[in-house]
Amino acid sequence: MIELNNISKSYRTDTIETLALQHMNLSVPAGEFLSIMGPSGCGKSTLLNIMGLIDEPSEGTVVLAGREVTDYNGSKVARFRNEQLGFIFQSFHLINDLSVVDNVELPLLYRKLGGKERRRLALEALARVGLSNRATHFPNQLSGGQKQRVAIARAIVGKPNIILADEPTGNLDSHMGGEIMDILTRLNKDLGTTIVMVTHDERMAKRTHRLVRLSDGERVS
Amino acid sequence: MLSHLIKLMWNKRRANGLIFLEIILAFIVLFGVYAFAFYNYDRYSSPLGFSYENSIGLRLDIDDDMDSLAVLGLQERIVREVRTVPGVEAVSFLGPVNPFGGNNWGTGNDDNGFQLFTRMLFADEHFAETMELKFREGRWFEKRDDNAKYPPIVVNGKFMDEYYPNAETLLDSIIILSGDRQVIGVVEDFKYASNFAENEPLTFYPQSGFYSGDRPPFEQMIIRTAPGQTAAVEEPIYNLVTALTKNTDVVIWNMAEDRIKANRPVVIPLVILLIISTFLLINIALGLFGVLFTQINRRRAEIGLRKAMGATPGEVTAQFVGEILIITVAGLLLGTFFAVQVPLLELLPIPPKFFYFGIVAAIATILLIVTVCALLPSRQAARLHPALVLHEE
Amino acid sequence: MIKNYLLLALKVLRRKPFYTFISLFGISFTLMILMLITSMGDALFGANKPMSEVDRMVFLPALSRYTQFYDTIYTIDSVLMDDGTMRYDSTFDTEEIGSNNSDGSMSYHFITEYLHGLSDVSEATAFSPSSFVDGYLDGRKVTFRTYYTDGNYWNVFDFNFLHGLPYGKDDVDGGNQIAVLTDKAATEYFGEASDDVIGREVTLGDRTYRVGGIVARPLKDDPTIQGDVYLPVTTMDRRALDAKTLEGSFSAVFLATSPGKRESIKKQLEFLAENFVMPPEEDYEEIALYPGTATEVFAGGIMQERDYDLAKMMFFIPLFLLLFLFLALPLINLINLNVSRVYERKSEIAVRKAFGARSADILYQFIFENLVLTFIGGAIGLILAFFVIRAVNANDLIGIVRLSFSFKVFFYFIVVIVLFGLLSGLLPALRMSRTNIGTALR
Repeated sequence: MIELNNISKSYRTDTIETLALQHMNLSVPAGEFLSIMGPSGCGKSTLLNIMGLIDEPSEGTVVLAGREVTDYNGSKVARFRNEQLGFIFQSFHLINDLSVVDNVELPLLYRKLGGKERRRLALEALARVGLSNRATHFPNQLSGGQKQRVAIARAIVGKPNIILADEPTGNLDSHMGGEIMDILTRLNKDLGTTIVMVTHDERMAKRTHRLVRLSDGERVS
Repeated sequence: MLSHLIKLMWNKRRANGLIFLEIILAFIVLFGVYAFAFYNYDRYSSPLGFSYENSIGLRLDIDDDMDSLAVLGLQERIVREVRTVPGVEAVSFLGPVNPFGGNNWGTGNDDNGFQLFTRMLFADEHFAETMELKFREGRWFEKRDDNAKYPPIVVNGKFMDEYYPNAETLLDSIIILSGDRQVIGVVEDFKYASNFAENEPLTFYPQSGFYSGDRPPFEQMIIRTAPGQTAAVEEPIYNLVTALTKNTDVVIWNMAEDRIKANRPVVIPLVILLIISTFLLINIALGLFGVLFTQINRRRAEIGLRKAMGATPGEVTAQFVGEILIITVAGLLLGTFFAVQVPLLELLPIPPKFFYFGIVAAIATILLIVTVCALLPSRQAARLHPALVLHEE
Repeated sequence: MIKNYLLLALKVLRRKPFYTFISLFGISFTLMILMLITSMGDALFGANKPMSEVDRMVFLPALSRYTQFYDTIYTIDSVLMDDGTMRYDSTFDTEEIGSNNSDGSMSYHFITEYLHGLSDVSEATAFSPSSFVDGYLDGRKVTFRTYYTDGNYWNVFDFNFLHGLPYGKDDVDGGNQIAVLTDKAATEYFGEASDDVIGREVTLGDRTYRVGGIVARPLKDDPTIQGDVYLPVTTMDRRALDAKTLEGSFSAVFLATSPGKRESIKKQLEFLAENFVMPPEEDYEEIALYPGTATEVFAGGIMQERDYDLAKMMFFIPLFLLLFLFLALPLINLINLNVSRVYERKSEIAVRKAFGARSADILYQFIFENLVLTFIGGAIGLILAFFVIRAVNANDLIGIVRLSFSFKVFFYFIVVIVLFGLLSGLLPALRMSRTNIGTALR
């Protein structure tokens, strides 16, 4: 499903060049639940951003769903992100000015779908994360765990093949984190969604199929 | 601290560019409006020098075929009979220029390099009493002046101050103004076009110096009534004058209303300018308030950090207010540079002091608004608990 | 899609009442002022009745008579010759040092005698606009401004006749005592402006006229159409009408065959003035005519400047500069506010992009949001302008001029709203659409 071939990424400021990733090779088959661990600044987020086509590698190629990505800014890649990818962030990134169900609908806005259809799909996704009764609330009326469940609903509403999660439990206590993991596991099992998750937490990592460790921009295991 | 702030603002010059631009434009608008307003206020504050509150004006038509003796006789008779109408207190004839009427006469003279320019007004011997003029020295025209060796004139105070600033007295001086003329009186103030007219040198001429050959006799009158009687006397006077001149071509107007009409060309633009500028100021203040609010809110972490490192709320407030004031002062300096060109290059025929007043007032207004707009969000931000803010991030 | 954007925009606006208020305040007030200005411009310069053909009109309000003074200047050059002697050369020059002039409106004689037969003119009229007449009716004082006009006046100016008809050439030639009143004057004199008034008598000064027609009072402050009562020129004081002097109380207006022919008429009039042979009894040696279009005469009158090109520059450049400043400030203010909110909404944009929004989607969204805001502001501005215009008209705040809403003004208004919305939204939206997702989502 995802193939990274010889990926390197360097950030350049006026004076210094920092290497975030070095010659990284990684292949994620369809239906896998993969976790990535490593100390801060080891390049985990950069790796996830490159997989999500949010960031462009300095070197190497990304092959997603059998196609090599050459353009990272055009409208084709935007379409691809919209249809194939779902994102979950550590700090949720919900839009505070929109209600819960409007937030969930957001990815569908960029598809040709009627308003009723969008609403139906969004409510379905909210039901899947168990938040049907909060549809008309606003994000600032929710707890952290609830916010993250809204974010998951938003990630799955477009029925993507891949979900990329950047420390989804990082801002939550272990009980809530567990609940989030339950939902992700169920998604992976029921719908066969490929999930790549960056985490700090060994216990969460243990619940996935495979664990990749990074250190200083290189794969350790 | 100041150099630290200036550095900070310079580094953020792109983000602050719009505020800078806004300050310059606001300054230019305010500068113009203030200069215009001050200039007109100054003109407004120089007195008219005559009473108009209870006076009416009247225009009549004297038959062109009458000889001059008959004309003078008719005028005398009209004055005498109008004077007897109940409510009328004083009656006077005047020439083609009437106060607030909209026309202007002027004459100039170049006497061996001594340049002189004066407005002109033509009036009979009752004018001073009717208009309640105040005299600095001398007296008004009298009947006996018609036989004087030199035709008499009366000038206003500005005439004396402008052309003879060092003279003790102008009485009995002979001045060349379309012939030799003898000054018999100086009135305190007199300007007639409107309250916003420039206080200019002015000379009064009697009918004897005007009505001759090709010029028609005086055909306008000013009638002063007892307070509140202006409306009541109009119809009896109309009937009286039409009967005396045997001509219905008589028009009567109210001088107090005429004054308002004459002031209108300045008052209307001034009021429109003031309303629009007030709106612009409110608009700018609100906008600035909103912008600063978001900008300062975005820097909650920085505030937390500074407070954690020991900055007092006062210091945090001072920092934010100081930052925005630096941009403001930079904008004002550039704006002032443009604004001073107007008086320096004498682009407009207005005394330079009004432009300098305008600059000072515009600077003061903008500094005040900016400070108030910066103070509110800054003080709110400065009250934040450092732990709370840092935790948020 | 548009419905989505619309709903979204409204939601965002509702969630941020403070910013919405600030933006709306600026937009609505600015647009209100623009509305008033366009309406005023239309009232002053627009082709409305009775000056529907203003684009074809050439105005000749006055005549200038003058005598130029010349001074002879002697210049003496001294040259030191080789042999040590001085040589003197003298030259002399004549130079204009000033002129003695008298400006005023023209006599009927001058207009009819000299200004007829110009080419490219389809109609021409002469009229005397400057008399007032007072009358007392049952103790009420009425003051009318009377215009003495020829029959062509009604062909040049297309007055809106509410009742009756204008007087024609035959009436003028015959000296028939027929009057045309404005509806206001008719109401003042007869208590009504209706068909019943036609044919009744109105006494003005020592003459009595029969009412021939009633016109709607022009909503324009122009010295060519300000009369309360219009009378045939042949009924005025015979001496003034027949006087053979050049100066009198008349003005002239020429209607060109097409707007482009106005220049030709102006040229012909100027040529005529240059080659005019002064009658020997005049005190002055030459005459000058200053014909101009409506805008030229207007600017020239306000600026007291005879060179109309200069007058137009002196009047319109500061005016547009002022207008520019008054528009630029709220616009910059709005842009500034929007730009500063870009940062606030950075994470929103990044999320949208992460979920597949193209840069163009983001651009459209923010421009659209802004347009919605401007349209709401515009609607409020329109309502405010409506009330201000009503107040201005009801209280005669700008004299006789009546401001009005018209289709044209409304069209300008829509154009202005769209421009304002686009301008104030474009820069912030561009910045927003360029937001880098990776850094914004950290």
